[in-house]
Amino acid sequence: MKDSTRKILDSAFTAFSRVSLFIVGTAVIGFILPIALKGIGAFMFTATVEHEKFLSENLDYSLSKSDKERIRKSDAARQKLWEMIDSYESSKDSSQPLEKISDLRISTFNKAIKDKDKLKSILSQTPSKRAKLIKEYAEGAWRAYADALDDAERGASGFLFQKFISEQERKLESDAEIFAEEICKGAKISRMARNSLRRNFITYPISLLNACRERFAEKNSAYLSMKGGIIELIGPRSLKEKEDMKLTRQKYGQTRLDIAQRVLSEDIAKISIRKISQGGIPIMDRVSSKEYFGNSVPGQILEYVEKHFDELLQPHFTIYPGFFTDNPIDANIFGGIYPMILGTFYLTVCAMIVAAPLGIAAAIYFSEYAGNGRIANFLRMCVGTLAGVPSIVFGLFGLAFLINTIKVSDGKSVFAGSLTLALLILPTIIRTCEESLKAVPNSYREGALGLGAGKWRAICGVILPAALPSMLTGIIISMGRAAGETAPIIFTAATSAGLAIGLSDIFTQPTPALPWNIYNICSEHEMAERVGHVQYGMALTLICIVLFLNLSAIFIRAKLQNANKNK
Amino acid sequence: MESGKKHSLIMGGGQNFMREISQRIGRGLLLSITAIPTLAIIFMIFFIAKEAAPFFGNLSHTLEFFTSSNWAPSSQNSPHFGALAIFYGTAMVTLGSCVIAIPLGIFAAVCLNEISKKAAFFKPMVELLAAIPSVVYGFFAIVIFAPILQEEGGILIAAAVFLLGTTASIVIGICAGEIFAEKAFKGYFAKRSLLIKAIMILSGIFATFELSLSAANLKIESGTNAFNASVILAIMALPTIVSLSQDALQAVGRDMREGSLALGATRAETIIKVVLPCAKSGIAAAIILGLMRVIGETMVVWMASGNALKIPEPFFNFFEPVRTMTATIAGEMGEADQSTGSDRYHVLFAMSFCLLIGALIMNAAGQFIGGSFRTIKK
Amino acid sequence: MTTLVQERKNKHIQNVQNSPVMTSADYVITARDFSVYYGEYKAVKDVNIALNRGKVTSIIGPSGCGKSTFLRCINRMNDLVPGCRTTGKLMMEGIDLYHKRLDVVELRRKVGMVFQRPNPFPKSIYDNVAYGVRLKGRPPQTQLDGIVETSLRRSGLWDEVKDRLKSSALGLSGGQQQRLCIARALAINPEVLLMDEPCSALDPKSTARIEDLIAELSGEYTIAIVTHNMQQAARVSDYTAFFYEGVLVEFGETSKIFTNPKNEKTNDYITGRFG
Repeated sequence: MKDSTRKILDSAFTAFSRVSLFIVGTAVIGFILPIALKGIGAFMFTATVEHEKFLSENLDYSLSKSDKERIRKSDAARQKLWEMIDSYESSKDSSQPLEKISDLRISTFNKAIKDKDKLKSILSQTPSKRAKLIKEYAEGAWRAYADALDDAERGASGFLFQKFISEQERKLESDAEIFAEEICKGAKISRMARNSLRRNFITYPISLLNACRERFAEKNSAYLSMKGGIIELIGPRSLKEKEDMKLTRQKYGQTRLDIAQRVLSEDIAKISIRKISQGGIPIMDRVSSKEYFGNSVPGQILEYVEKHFDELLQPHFTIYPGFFTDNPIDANIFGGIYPMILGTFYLTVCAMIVAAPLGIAAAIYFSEYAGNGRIANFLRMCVGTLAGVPSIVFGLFGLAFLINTIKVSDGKSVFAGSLTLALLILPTIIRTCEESLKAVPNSYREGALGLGAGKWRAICGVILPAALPSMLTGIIISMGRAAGETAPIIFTAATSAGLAIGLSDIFTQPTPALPWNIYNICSEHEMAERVGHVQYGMALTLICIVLFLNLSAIFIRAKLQNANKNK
Repeated sequence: MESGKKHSLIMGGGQNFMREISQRIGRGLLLSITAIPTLAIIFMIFFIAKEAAPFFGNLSHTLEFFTSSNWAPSSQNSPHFGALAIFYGTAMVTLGSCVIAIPLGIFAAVCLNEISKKAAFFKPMVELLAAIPSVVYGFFAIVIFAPILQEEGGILIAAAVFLLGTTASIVIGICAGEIFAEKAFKGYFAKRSLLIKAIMILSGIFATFELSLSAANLKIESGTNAFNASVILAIMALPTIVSLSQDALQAVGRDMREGSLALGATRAETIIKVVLPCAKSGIAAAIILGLMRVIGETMVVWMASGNALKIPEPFFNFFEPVRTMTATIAGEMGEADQSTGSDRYHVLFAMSFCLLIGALIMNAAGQFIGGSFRTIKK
Repeated sequence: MTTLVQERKNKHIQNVQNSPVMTSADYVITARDFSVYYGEYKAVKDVNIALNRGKVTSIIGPSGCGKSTFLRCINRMNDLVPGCRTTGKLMMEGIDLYHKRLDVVELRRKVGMVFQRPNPFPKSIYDNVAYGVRLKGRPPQTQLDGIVETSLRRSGLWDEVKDRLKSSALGLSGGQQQRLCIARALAINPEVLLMDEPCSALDPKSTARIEDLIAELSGEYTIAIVTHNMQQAARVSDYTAFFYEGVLVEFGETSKIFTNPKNEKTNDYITGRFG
């Protein structure tokens, strides 16, 4: 091979390795950075006025002066909005044309009664011809009514018109009955012919009204869709409406500006309308509100909301330290993550209390007593094997053995979870502690024994203190692992919802815990888009706990190495 | 006794006895604590086997378990226990993460140990990667990586394919061109090797380009799929592979490297032909232990793999959701454990029994290979 | 050699030839005011020396006197030591070995090295010898066989290993391993052979064999050997250099150094007063 080729291959190899190391070395930044950036938003964010309202009413926070001022301002802006909505819904101004329609209905019937003779002649025809002729006649008679209806629909707004249509329909039916009686009075007309007259004469206006109602239903669903969005944005109107709501999330508007903006752009600026597809099946369709409503009253309401968005919600930057100390309310949509942090703390500390003494004891046995005999090697091999068991199997073991067989508790409990976690981290602790003990120079042992100390005295008095800092490093790192493990606690300790438990409950109660709730809120939450910040906040909290533990371990180790160098 | 009064070196009977007893008790206590992991292993195998036994006792169910992919363990009328798709999903995700993690990990370890001068910075970074809890990896996979994959996946993969393919075709083109020119034409074309190399490189780049074009048009239906899980699992396995491989590389003596360099080998040749072969058992152990982390991992696959109960179509399609053993156990045991004694409960324990046995075998292999590597080191 | 650096710098040769230490004409390696630093510590101090073509030069001195450091600079093995840097000139046939465009890989093929501890690769005997040759492409099998046989014959190992060329080199004895390392170095046909205490890890019998081998190889190769063993230096070398605390104290024909040293330190050392 040519030298130049060998050199190129050499540089290519070097470059490949460097790139690989770069990827591996910076991957951790790639993971943590996005989570950290968004996770900070869980407790430092632009809040709306609803945030303070929620806190003061549910978590006993007091309102500051500026908060009260904001609430006052937003209430003023909202007052106008509700007035617009009221006036649309009652639609007082459309009563004039409606009266005209009623008049036209009565006059059409009266006119038709005057054509009695013509109608009678039609009724004497054969049934099939008869129906057709009546329909033709009716269309002419109802023309003015139809025009008036069209006019009214164009100008009409709100619910009154819909009510009016139903009323008209009912009245048409009853009027038609009277009308048929009137026509048939005194003449010898069959019952069938009479019914045909009654039905066919009003088929046309009723179909008009039906179409009108259909259009109005669509318009109304569109309006209601937008109104629902507005209520989601700023919360229900009155105290009574608020109390009627079952879920906390329905009692308040959006507490965070980012979600509020999303609600505005997705639930208010876009609406879903009910349409009948070609196959006759009703479908929901998403359209732009602006295009749909145009310049009508709902369009004006939309414009008002968009224009006065800031006044309605009063966005302001806030820091919410309660994220770490408050209980969650309504499936994590409001409040903090205190129970999860506390649960993780309980689980980790309990696991540590169980595992650390056992681990240290086993490490002492391995390093000071066992030597390299067959039994010791077998025990060592088992430690290695336990370290390789998948974590989910630990969870199953906790379920099948600790809970179902020896019944450390009825069902899941913090204690059962801690024992499982302790077992999981035991091999790591044994290994690191054994290594630390072995790193203690033999001269220490010989020195202590040489001074006449017993073996046990030498271990407790000299060797353990010498190895302690480095053992601490290993123990802290395994603590980090215990804090982050999920699979072992799924079946033994974790519950997805619940409040913080007291110290006395750890033997009987399951607890929420950060790792499990991160899974839960990512994969099984019914309103994932509303709790994005909580997801990130929880993940960031867990990362911070684990990284804090690990960094302190690294720090202790670095100090230790320095101390050793200085010796 | 005389000796007792004179505080002699020979202890009195009672004193001697007490000390002996207390030492024995202390030693016994330590031994029994040390035996906890051993007991745990035995109990673990026993209890999981006990709960799995009712399932394996039924021969037709067992046969179905390993041969069919019809999984409906909770069905009232006709329950099915075919776990083939689940085994396949596990294998697929494991294979995928191996393909990513092994070369990356070994290259990184080589760079960390032999090439980079910034090891003091990168080494703690790799350790931190190992410290991140698996559920956070899962969170990343489902909340951040999956949407990216779903929307920009095709372009991302095309870019990766193009970058990798171009560099690979340049390197392979040079090597192959050289060998081709030397061997195939017995030196006749040796002078024109540059031309041959250029042709090879260009055709390689062209093929890569075509490949990445088709990759760019790839439509990924769901961001949670085997590829997503493989990538994230690979990153999880990397710290294990990197640090254990680095240990193995460190154990290769300086004299080996010097011997090779003194014969005029380049650094790459030294590493590939001498250092890596010397460290191969340690690296193999590192890979096995990294693999174990992949197979035993629960949260990431549960969250990132999509949990679809079927073998992808075609079978190598990594952009389809799959389901793994650990995810099945974690996901279904919650629904099954109330009805202790049900078929579903037992089949899940049967699955974890397979998982446990697999892990034990791999662990033994890892310890055996790693152990032999350690003795060489001594 | 012209491939080592693109341009030859003849004036360096002249500079070296004017230096006072040089007496004979045909030098392969010449050092002029050559110093080596490990960080702040100066391990080799302003050395001026020239190694004669086809001769064996031994470098003696107490531990830590910089003799190994100097030897390892000749094929740039010290590049591997972090913080190592040099000043002054070290030249091979007129080419500056620390020129920034020098091809180190090519240099190491010209200057072979045998280390203190035998370091055969964990491969077969055959592969060990063929390793250096194969780096430059794969010659036909018969040619390779020939090179391996010649190298092994020259290092005197052929008769001992010809039946088990495919077995692992780690199965050989220490002395055989060291001769295998010499064979490995010879296989790529170097001009200079550096030996860094090649016998310190070997028993007397193996040492004798290596010394015989050095005697056989002299004339054909320029050999520099670092040794602790003064008898060995006296036995195998044509020239001897005595290093003390990084300074080249005395350099001359072996017979003169050992019978009539000019410097008192040299005298003390070779008579065993220190070291």
